[in-house]
Formats: sequence, structure tokens, C-alpha cells
Amino acid sequence: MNWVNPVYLKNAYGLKKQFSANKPFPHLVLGNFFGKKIHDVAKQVLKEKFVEKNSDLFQFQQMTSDCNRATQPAVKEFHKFFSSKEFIQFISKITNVKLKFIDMSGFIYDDTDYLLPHDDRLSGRKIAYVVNLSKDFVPEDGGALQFFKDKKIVKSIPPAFNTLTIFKVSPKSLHQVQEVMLNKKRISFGGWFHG
Amino acid sequence: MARINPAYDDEILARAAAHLKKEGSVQLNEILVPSALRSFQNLKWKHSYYPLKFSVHYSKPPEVWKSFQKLVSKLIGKKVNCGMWCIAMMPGDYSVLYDSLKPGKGFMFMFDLNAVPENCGGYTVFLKGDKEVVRVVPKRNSFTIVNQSSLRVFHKYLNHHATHPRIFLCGFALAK
Repeated sequence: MNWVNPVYLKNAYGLKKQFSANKPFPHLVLGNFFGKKIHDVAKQVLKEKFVEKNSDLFQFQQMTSDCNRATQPAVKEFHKFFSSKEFIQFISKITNVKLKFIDMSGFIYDDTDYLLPHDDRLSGRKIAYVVNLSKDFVPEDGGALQFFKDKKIVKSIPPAFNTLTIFKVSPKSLHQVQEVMLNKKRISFGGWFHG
Repeated sequence: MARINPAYDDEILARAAAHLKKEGSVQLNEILVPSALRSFQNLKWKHSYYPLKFSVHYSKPPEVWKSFQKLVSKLIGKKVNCGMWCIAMMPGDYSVLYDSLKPGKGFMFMFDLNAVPENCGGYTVFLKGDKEVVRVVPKRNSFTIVNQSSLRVFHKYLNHHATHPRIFLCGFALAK
């Protein structure tokens, strides 16, 4: 668990309480979550292959393969840690959900890219996550992960570097990625912990 | 049909009707006389938002819609029942292919008041299964009709580069 900021490892009980109490659905936003090695990951991820994805629901670039087939050593190592039994058990503990494995992909949102509201529900997906790797975003730049309650956005999470966001997938977990409003790259890993 | 550009005489409309029958869609440019475009001024917009389905602004259609009903009837070659809305897609507006959306019946038609560059989004996409078969990119004063039988349709998210909304009349027509 040497990737994770030790402050979080010591506070699993507190995180568990916070996760279940957070509104509009259980979630955590954990800043400065990983150690220094995350800087190498952020540099190397842009050397991976990305492809444009465009549909009614989204517009962004996605890594051509799951991160388990990454070509860059730091990305490979990060995926190995994130998919480790130890880390999955840690997330199971703080979410109180039995988790078995993950999938992970890399994403780049550039100017005008977005992901419209959806709830992520699909067989096996229990906990959704986003690891933000982009720097220097301010709220006016867009790219925030936004949570809905009914028809209203009630929480907006700007893409801050080295932040892990997790949330419970359920009929309530309506969310979107706000359009990026300038020529800046919002880089992230995202995927799900499966049960 | 006094508001329809008189250049669209019976002969041209017959050719357009034949094209629609063969290709499944047809677009007519410079469709309204300039004075008719003014009826779109001072419309009042209301926002309708269902995050999993659409975000659009709509208004009561101006009187000119009656001209389109007659035009559609000529293009299809039958009397039709029509429904019509006046829509403004503002930046941030969209519609998506939600789970319960059923494939269309009859014809969908659109009158676009103004042009919107394709890279701003806001265009209309018709799909057969997962394959795009028609894309309507808004052109100033243009009319497009699509045979939407078994097609699904969405309006692409209009991004922040758009300098003005896409304003259009959107309707469906079923032969009587």
C-alpha cells in the first residue's frame, strides 16, 4: 500500500462513516491521495494510445485498451497496485461493499468534451471511481464531475490533481462530466470496482 | 403556401418528393420568403430538462407552421396529421437515445432558422440500429424531411463555441 498517502490508511473507519453519510449518494473525494509516484503516472499516461469516442452521450478520448495492457511502466505499475487484492480490500472496507476486481481506462477530455448524465448501472458495477491527473484546472475551466439529486446538480467536484473520487453505483448515482471550456486536457483514470 | 419561396413550384416539389421516396430524406434550402423569417422574433422560451433524456428550450410555434404542414403533405403525396414544436437548443442542450426511446414512425421534418457550424454540435442524427444514416446540420432557412420509420434520433450536445442557439421547428407527420 506504499502508493497511498498514509493519512488515509490510518483513518479507514472515519472514511467509512464519511462515505455512507455523504449526499446525494454515498461517495468520497480524497485529495492528495497517492504518493509522489503519481507524478510519473501523469507524465507517462499521455504516451499511451488514445482514440476519439463520440456518441449521443459523450465526446472524449479513451485509451485504446484497458490499463492492464498499458505500455508505459509507471502506468502499468499504477494499475498493478490499483487492482491489487490489498487495495481492493481497502476500498471494500471503507465502502462496506464486497468487491472482487476492477477495470480501468484512461480518458482525456479536451475543449468541448463532455459526458452527459447517466447512472453507471450495469451488471457487477458496485463502486465507480475517478483518479484525476490533470493540473491547474479552476472551476471556470469546466471538466467537473457533477452529482445530481433529481434534476438538479447538487455537487460539483473540480478535477484536482491526485484526487481519488469514489461513489456507490445505484439508481440514485446520476452524474455527468461537465464540458471542458478551454483548450486544456482533463486527464483521468476511471472505471469500476466490481462485486 | 404564400410564405414558401415561390421558386419551389409544383415541378420542383415533385422532384423533391421523388428524392425523398428514393433516398429517405431531402433538404430544401431558402425555403421561406424573407418576410416569413421575422415571425421567429420575440419568441419566449421555456426550459424542459430531464437529465437522462434531454435538455431543450421550447416555444409556441409561430403561425408559419401551417405552411409547413401543406408542404409536408405535398412531399409525402398524402394528407397528413402533424405535430410541431418550436425548439431552441442553447449551449448545453441535447437529447440522447434513452432506453425507452422507440424507433420513429412516419416522417420527421425540421425547419432551421439559422446555421450552426458542425463542430459546435447541435445537429440531428438519425440511426438505423447503431449506424448513422442521416445527419442534419443546421443551415439558415432550410427545411429537411426524413422518413424516420425504424430510425432512432438524437440532437447532439451544443457546445460553448456556439455563438447563438439553434432555433428550429421540429415536427412529425403521419399519413392519414
